[in-house]
Parts: sequence; C-alpha cells; structure tokens
Amino acid sequence: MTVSRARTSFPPGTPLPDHWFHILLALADDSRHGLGIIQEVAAQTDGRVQVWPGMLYLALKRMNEEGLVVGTEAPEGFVAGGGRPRFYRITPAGRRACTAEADRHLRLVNAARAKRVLRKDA
Amino acid sequence: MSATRLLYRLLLLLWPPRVRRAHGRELETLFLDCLDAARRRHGAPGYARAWLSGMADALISAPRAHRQEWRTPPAHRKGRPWAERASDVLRDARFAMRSWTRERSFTLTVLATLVVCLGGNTVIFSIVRSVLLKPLPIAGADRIVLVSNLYPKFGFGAAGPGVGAASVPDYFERRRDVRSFDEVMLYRRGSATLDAPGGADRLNVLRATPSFYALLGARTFAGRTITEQDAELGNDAKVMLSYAFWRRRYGGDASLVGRDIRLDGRPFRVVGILAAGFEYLWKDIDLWLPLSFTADQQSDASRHSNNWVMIARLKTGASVDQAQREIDALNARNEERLPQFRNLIRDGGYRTIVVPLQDDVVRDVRATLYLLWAGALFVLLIGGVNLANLFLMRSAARWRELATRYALGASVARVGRQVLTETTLLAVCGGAMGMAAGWWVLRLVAGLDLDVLPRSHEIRLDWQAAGAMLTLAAAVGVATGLIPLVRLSSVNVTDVLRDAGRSGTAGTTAGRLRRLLATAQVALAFMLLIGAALLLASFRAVLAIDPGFEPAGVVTAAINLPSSAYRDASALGQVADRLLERTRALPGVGAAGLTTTIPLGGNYSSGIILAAGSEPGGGESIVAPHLISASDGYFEAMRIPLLRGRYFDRRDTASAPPVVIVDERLARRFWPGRDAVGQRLLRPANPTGVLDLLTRGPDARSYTVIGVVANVQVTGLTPKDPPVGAYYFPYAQQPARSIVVAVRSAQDPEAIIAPLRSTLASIDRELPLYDVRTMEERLDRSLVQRRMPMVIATAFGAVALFLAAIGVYGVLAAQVTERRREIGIRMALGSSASDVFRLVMRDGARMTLLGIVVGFAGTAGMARLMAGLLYGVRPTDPVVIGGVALLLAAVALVATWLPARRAARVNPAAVLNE
Repeated sequence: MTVSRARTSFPPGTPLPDHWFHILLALADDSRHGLGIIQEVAAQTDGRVQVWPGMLYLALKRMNEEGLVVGTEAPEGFVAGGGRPRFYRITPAGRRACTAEADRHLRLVNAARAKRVLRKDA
Repeated sequence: MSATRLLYRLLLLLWPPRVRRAHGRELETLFLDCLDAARRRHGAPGYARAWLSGMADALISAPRAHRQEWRTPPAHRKGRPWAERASDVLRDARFAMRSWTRERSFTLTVLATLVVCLGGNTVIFSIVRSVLLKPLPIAGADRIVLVSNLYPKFGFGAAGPGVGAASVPDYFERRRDVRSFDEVMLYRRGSATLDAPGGADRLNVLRATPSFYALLGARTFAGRTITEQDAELGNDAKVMLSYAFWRRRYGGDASLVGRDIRLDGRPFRVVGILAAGFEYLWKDIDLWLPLSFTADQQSDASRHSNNWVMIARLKTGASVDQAQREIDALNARNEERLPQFRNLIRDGGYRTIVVPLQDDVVRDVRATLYLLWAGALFVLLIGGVNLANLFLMRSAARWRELATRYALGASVARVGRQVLTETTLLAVCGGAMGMAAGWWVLRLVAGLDLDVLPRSHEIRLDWQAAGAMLTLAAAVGVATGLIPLVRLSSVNVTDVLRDAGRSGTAGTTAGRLRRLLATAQVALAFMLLIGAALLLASFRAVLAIDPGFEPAGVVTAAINLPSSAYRDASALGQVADRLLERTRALPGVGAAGLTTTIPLGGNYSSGIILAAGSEPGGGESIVAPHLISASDGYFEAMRIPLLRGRYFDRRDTASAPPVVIVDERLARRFWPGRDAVGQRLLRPANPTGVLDLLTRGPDARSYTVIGVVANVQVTGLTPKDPPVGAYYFPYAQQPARSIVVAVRSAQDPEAIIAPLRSTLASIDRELPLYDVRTMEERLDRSLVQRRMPMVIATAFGAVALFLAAIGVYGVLAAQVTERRREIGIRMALGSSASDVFRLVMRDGARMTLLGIVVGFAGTAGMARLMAGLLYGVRPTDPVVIGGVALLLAAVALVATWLPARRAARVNPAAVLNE
C-alpha cells in the first residue's frame, strides 16, 4: 500500500512558508549546498533572515517531496572541508511556485502602494 | 571533540534514528559552519547568538522530524517488513480480543487465575525487593558495616543496628588503627522531651558522631549540618531537626535555625533542618544530635562499656574479612595491654564481629521472605499449569480450526504467532490487573503498623518490580501458548481432520500431558500446604508459651523524667510514689506499678551480677541477666507469680537495706537446690549500659535476695538469645528516668488511659505519656514477625489448594466430555453407572496420590530451609504431614467426584444417537 502523497499540495497561488520562499530564491540562480543556501538567504535579506540547519533539513525534505527541489551532483571541482555535501537544484515546479509567490508579494506591495501605505518609489 | 559538537550530537539523539544516520554528520558540519560565519561577521556576540539559536533549532526541529518521518510512506522507510509484521500482530491481537468476548467464562477464569497468582507475586516480590534486594537508603550502603562487641557466654551473642555494642575507646582506637575503614561512626537512638509552651513532647532522637552525618551524606534544607566542632564537650548543645518533624511541629518556620529549643530542660541550638529525604534506618527520628565524650568515657576503664552502636565504612577495595582480621589483631593487642579485662574477655567469650549493615538489618526476616517468595512462585506455577491446561483444552476445541488453517497452508509460525499473541496478551492483561490488585494490597500492608519489621516503611511497588511482574506475566503467556504449539508442530494434519470427525477417545498425548500437569499441581500444592501448616503449628506452639505474666487487662505507658525537673534519686522516687498513689486511687484500678523494662517493650538492659561467695573469673560464674528496676505493685499489676519470699513493698525504701528479687532461672543457676531467699548477690558499683562489668571488687555492692518470681519472657516469647534470667531492684533503691507504668484494671483497659493521662498531668503538666499500649497489644506486636508469614503462607496454601482442585477437576471434566461417546458405548455394552463412576474416580485418585507422594519427597528439601523458622514443631512432624495429606486428598476427592458423577449419569441412548 504505497500511497504516495499528492504532489500538488502547493499549486501556484498557495502561499509558501516564508523560509521556503527564501530557500527557493536562493536556489533560483544556481544549485547550492546547505551552507551555500544559508549564506545566500542571509545575503539576499541583508542578514535579517537566518536559516538554521534543522529547519533547512526539514524544509528541503518536504520541498523535495513536493517536487520543488531535487538533490543534484556537486559541481565539478567543488571541494569542501567535510567531504562532498549534498547539493540542491530548483525544479521547474519549484520555479513556478517561487514566481507565483513573488507575484503574490508583488500584488500585496501594489495594493499597499494603492492605499498609500507605501510610497511609489519605495 | 569540542563541547559544542558534543552537545549538538546529543541533541541530534532526539531525532529519528534514520534521519540521524543519513544526515547527522551533515547537520553537524552545517551548524559549525554557521557558527564560524557568525563569528566572522559579528564577533563573539554573534557567535553566542548563533550558538543559542542553532541549538534551539536542533531541539525544536526534532519532534517535527519525527512527525515528518511518520508521514513518510512506508515504501520510503527501510523498516517496511517490520511495519508489516506489526500490523499482523495487531490483527492477531484484534482476533484474540474477539475470541475473548466470545468465550467469556474462559477469559474470566484465566484473568482471575492471573490476578490471584500475579497479585500475590507482586506483593511478595515488592516486599522482597524493598527489604532484601534494594540497598539501604544510605549513601554508599554496600560498604557500611556494623561492628559489634559480643559476649556470647554472658548471653549477649547478637547485636543489631539498634543495640549498643561498642565503646568510646573502641571508637577512637578503631578510627585510628583500622586501615580497612574509611570512617568509623558511633550513634545511639534515644528519646528526649521537648519543653515547649504548647506542652511537652516526647521525641525520638539519634545522637551520633559528626562523621555519621558527613558519611551518610546528610544535606540540610536550611542551616548547616553538624560538624566536628559541635562534638566538643561544652559546645555540643546543638541539634538538627528532621524535615518532617520541623513541618509538623513548627509549621516549616525557617527562622527556627539559629534559635534555641529546650530538650530535657536544657537549651539546644538549632543549627539546621535536614533535607526531606534524609533518613537512617528508622523513619521516626525527629532530632539529630552530635555526640561528645568525656575523658572518663574515652579512658580504657570504659573499654567494655558498650553503650553505642558502631558502624564503619570500608575503604574502596577493602573487604569485610580484612576489617575483621584487623579488628581481631587489635583485640589481641588490647588483651595483652589491658590485663584487667582478661577474665571478662575469657568468661564472656568476647569477640568483635564485622558484618555488612544491610545483612544485619534484614537478618531476622531474610529466610522467611525468601520462603514466602518461593511460595508465591509455587502458586504462580500451579496457576500457570492451570492456564496451560485451560489453553490445551481450548486448543483441543479449536483443534479443527487450527489444523484446517494449517492444512490450507498457514505456516506453523503463522498459527503459532496467533496462539502466542492470544495467550501473551491475555497474560499481560491479567498481569496488569494482578499488579493493580497487588498494589492495593501493598497499600493495605503499608497501613498496618509494621514498624516491627525492618525497612517496612520502604515497601512499595516500584517500576522495576512492576517490570519484573509484567515480564513474568508475559513469560507465563508464552509458556502456556507454547504447550499446544508443541503439539501442533508434530501433528499429522490428515489425522486431525479425520480424528475431528469422530469424538476423541482417551489416551491422546494431550490427555497424558494434562494429567501429568495436574499431578504436578497436586505435588506443588502439597508442599506449599506443608509449609503453611508448619508455620501455623509453630505459631500455635508460640502462643502456648507462658509469657510469665498475665497480659489481659494491663495498660502500660512510658514516661521520661527530665533531669532538669527531677535532679536526684529522691526526686525521682517521690514523683513515682505520687504517681502510683494517685493511679491506684483511680476507679477500677486493681494494681499499679512501674518498671524500667516492660516485657516486649523493645527497651532492655542487662548488667553483670554474681553470687556472693563465688569468685569472678570462674568460667561460667559471671552472667549478665536483665537488669530491671520495679516498684512495689509492679509484680501484682503484671501478675508475675511469686514463687518464694515476698514482692517489693513499702518497706523497700531508698534508705532500707539493699534488696533484690531474682527470677527462677537465675535462682536455679546461682543456688541450685537451695533456697535463694536470704542469699546475697554482688554487683559492681556503677553499672550502666549493656555490659559494664569492671571487675572492681572493692566497689561491689551486695544485695539480699528477698524473693523469687517466675520467669518472664522479657524480649519476646521466643527469645533469640539463650535466656539468662532477670533480677529486679526496688525502684526506690535504683531509680531511673525512663519508666513504664503498668496498670491493671478490672474494666476495659483502654478506658483507663484518659484518667491516667490526667493523673500524670496533675502531677507535672510538662510530662508526656507516650508509647501507651495494652500488654496484649505488645504481645501482639511481638508476634508480627511470626504472624505475618503464617497468614501469608496460609493464604498461599489456600489458593494453591483451590487451584490444584480446579486443575484436577478440569482435567477429569474435560476427559469426561471428550469420552462421552466411549462412556456411552461402554454403558450400552453392559458397564453399570457405578463402573463408570469408579473408572473416573480411579483416574482422579491416581493423580492425587501420585502428586502427594511426589510432594512429600519435595518437602524433604524444604525441611532444612524451614527448620530455622519453626518453634516447637519439627519440619517432619507426622501430624502436620498427615493432616495436610488428608486435607488435600479430601479436596481432590470432591474435585474428582463431580466429573465422576457426571460420567455416571451419561445416557447411552442419547449419546449414541448424537
């Protein structure tokens, strides 16, 4: 009785957990390993968001099950201190989910601007 | 490995093992990398923040990881076969429960048997575990030894943790010279009167050398513990309160520390409140005091003043034997050095023994408890056999079902698992219920006043005992399930299927097995009943012992006269006179007296004495009988018969010539065949404590014997030591501060207690009356160690008898049911009903007799074990054995008669038409 879970629990439009979004964004331009993701998330948020290993592991596992990311080979010539870490790559589905989430945020920002909560140029 | 890495790994232990194995290393490296990054960017504060957050993350994510792991479909997990197996077991369990509800009477029988057997085992095992197996609740209990000076030839051949058997010079010497000891401690249990505005209180106190508190790991709740400085003379008026007493008496007032309380009229500074868990062997100690010694106590003159209990802790690696050898050598040196004690040492058979404290504490009850434990296991065995028989019978009924499934391709393992699941589940359920029952019984036991038994307040059902019981239950389940399985695995299926078509006949393997089991039950029950009957007979023999006094109608109560209010002998004499005078005036009081040693009161003292004219040192000439002061009226109140001369009376005042009353034993020992009255006894001038003979001839005082009274069983109806007799001084001539009043009343003895209290209050409002008990109560309590095992063993015996009867009945009844067809044919062919009846009866009688014979052989082994527990009856007593055999045979006869009658009533026409 191998009932695999539905892969579509995150259809485009469903809000993603915040840290998932950050992780997907970090993976949007390149495949990365754990530390790479953590550092990239920190960089793209000016250090405001910190992802911790446990949380990262759980998120990657779930995202993997949802088909948003997949494990991948480390790039040629990558040498790390503690052996070969696992690398992750964003899938097309992941990219769609990421775009949808960014879009959702954009609409929110636009709504905020329309209500003059946010200045036009901010 | 750094502490951070270690801690992180420990946190990862909370994660699912599979995840930890696959990703643990990665998570760990990642965390350390994050820490590095944080340090590079934000320095030490960033590192600290990251450290905390990362650790918290590992902790918080653990339950989520478990949840995720659970949600993952089994295909992704490695342990898939296990999961499948588990679901099979669940299916078996559901199946089992369905079958239980179908066969309610079967289930109830099984459960009832298990509750009785495992309940009994829970109780006994908890007691055995708490009393014998668990270490004493003392730090380093396994290395603590009891060191006792014994004088077996003086009648002082055994000490204990409550009996003074060491002297002060011994303490200093052994502390200094015995290398095997880490530390040596002296203590003495006693009592003290607390003077407080709310009225005086009688308290239990323990006085001990400061090393005692240090070594037993005393910790305080408030204030400090007693230290070496508190044991300096003149600086020793210090006290620690037990937590319970402090809460009870002072309502937990912490400001008490540093203040004074008055004990026996003297101020004592409260230095600390002990933490709640601290206790020594007794639960009831209220106050803990330091112990200091005068120069006189420390001198060699006090060498054999054994007023203290000595315990010591062995150095790590040192053995009891080593310590014993060192002490022996020390004693030999002292004998050389101190010639004045040589006679004493030789005459008394002086020897110092070192024994582990725990062994000594439980010495009296060990054999009994192990025997009861064996009894409980016997009951379980008998019950287990019944269960096996029940399952066997049922498996016979379900034979077809199992065999069909087997024939259809179910493996033996599959069928076996189902049977085992059923029996084990049932057994564990029954075990849990039995444990609940046992727990309830233990609570009842705890409610009884069992402080006479060592460590009784520690008896409880802990989780180890509970685990052991559940394991035992599961073992019973597996064993009973295996029996039918053994049969299944060797069976020829076609035979069974064919056989099931006809009605079974006798002589099957199962039938033989069942008869064998029932015979074993009878044998076990017989042995158990013999044990119980012997204890019962022995108890009856003990009850028949003449205590030497008449307990009915006597109330006793203890009083302590503090030295602050009653300074000297004359004050003590006066208050005693006043008290007795007013007590005798109470309505209903027939006689009243007081004594220092009430029989069975737990407080005994002995002193060396010798007959005038015989020289000390003449081998057996010195004895140390019980030393008792008694007022006029005491012998009358206790109705201790006078054999010669007279009792004490008003003539025997402090200024009158010194007199003494001896008991029959002592009279016969000193003046065999002569009249003791008018003879003289010699006694050293200053005798205190257990054995304080300093052979100072010139100081000895002489006493004239004025009467001989009957022997009194002072320490118990069956004393452990050979009785050496007793001698009594008039209280007026030998007053003491700890006294017990004995009042004989024509009315209900309980009714005299209140007036007695007010009488005492009218004399001195500060004096508490404590340990108020009737003599019958004291007698009762002194018998607890005999009555308890007797009652328990009898209960076990009754259960065993019942179970064995059920066993025999069950086997025969099943046989009759199975052989109905055969019986019908026999009757149709001319057998009479009485022939059939005899046939079944013979079968039952054979099992019973064989069982009794085997059981009888088993009792031979038991006899040796039991000999030490019995009084007045030999383990091979023919009356006991014959009686038990008859009882068992009679019960088995009834159990046989019922199925036999049913067999005889079989209607052949009806059976053959079925």
